[in-house]
Amino acid sequence: MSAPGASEPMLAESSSAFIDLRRASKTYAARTGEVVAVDEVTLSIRQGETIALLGPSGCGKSTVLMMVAGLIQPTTGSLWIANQKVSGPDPRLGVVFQKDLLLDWKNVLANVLLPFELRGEDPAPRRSAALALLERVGLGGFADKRPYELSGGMRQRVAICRAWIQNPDILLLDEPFAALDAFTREQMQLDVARLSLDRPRTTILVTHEISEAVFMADRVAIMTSRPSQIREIVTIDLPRPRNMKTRESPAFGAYIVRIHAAFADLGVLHG
Amino acid sequence: MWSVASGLLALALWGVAVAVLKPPAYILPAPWAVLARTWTDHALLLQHGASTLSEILAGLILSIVVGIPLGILIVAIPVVHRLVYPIVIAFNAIPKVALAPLFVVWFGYGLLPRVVITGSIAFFPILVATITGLMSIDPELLRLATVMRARQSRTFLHLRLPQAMPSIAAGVKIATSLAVIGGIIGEFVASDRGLGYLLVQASGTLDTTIMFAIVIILAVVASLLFYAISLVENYLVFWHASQRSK
Repeated sequence: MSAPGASEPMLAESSSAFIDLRRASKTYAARTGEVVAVDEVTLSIRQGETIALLGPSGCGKSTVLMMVAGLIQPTTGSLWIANQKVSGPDPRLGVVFQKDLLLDWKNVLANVLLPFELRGEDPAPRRSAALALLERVGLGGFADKRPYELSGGMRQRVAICRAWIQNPDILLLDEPFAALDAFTREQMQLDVARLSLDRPRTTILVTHEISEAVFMADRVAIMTSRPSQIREIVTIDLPRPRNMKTRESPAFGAYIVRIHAAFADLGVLHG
Repeated sequence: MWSVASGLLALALWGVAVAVLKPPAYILPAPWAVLARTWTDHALLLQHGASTLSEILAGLILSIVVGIPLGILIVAIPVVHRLVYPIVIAFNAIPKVALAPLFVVWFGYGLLPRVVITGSIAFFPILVATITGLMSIDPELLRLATVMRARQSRTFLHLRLPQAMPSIAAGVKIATSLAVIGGIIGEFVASDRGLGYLLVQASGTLDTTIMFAIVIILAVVASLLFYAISLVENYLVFWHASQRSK
């Protein structure tokens, strides 16, 4: 399961891109005319790389994610995964949304095994893997519990296990920690960083929190609305594995200041 | 146990009213007179009550086995939704009492017309509740299923149907009350037995005491039926917030 692209130099050619958006746009027809949700986004993501789409709400970052997930097609431009044009959900995907979307009528274990159940595959052989995964995120004794018996942070951990059980090559995280309190959120960022240690997953993280983007990502794409574009890509050159010490480093703070200033320059923040 | 206490309270209020106002027995009989009459005529009441109860239950089962699958079809197949749903709505707009004599022509005087009347009155809330329940699924959940490359049949079985269950259960509860009404209407129109038939007979002879006995029995039966359905609901959708708060 070695990632061929992972050890390549930082500036890879576009052909080595694992996920490749080429001038991808998405427009919706509305009563007042066409609404541009995403305006010609070009983005190449290497295998094993984590990229954060950072911006205010309405900047189209979730729409970009939905395109990569194969849930919506770009109106113009194209989208490629491993040199294959995307026409629907890729089997290598794992997604986590802001809402945990757990099923109250199934226990925690059955929720983690849901992907297999929905595809009509026998989930029984994956049982031990699911239990081990729950153990790793600190939910060892909770397999038989129901989602409504868990806290918000625990529920989102189950949702992460449900994505992880499929051993995805690509992780799509759509503001997965946004509904959690600050401490739980930071812990979850650490947990996901820890889960990825065995094998870096190609990850797209949609977030509106600068520190989250800097902590998690190798590159941060700064997005704005009107037009919904990527305005700048900041490479985050912080050592991995990242842990609690990462946030205390001067470089971490410098990146936050730099990205904050970029949003101010773009007129997203003023005052 | 509170339901027993509230039943006793209703009886007490009734007893006090009779003792104070002393109305003639054909207007308002005393509760003890009704109780005594229930005891002396218990064989008759049981015999007719069994007939009524079987109609109610058969009608309720008919409404469930028609209402739920029809709701599923209407949600699953757009053509059925466009073609059949307007017919169903129009059918529901007809007062079913008006159909009762027609059912007698079609099905005769046996059990069947009364079961059909009961079922036709009770099925609509089940149908609407099934449709509402199946339609009110979180679109994000469907998106998640799509990303997981779920099969349609599996999405239905594991996502849509379970999350519609609380709504369907609520529909069946409403149908239970309607089934009791349907059973009695059926017996008013097309029967030579049952508590509804007995009511019509008693009305002709101004036998108010037995009429009260019948009405109380119907109230008790309908309540027990409602509790029975609630127990089934509690068992089936124990995970839902409405059940957990109990």
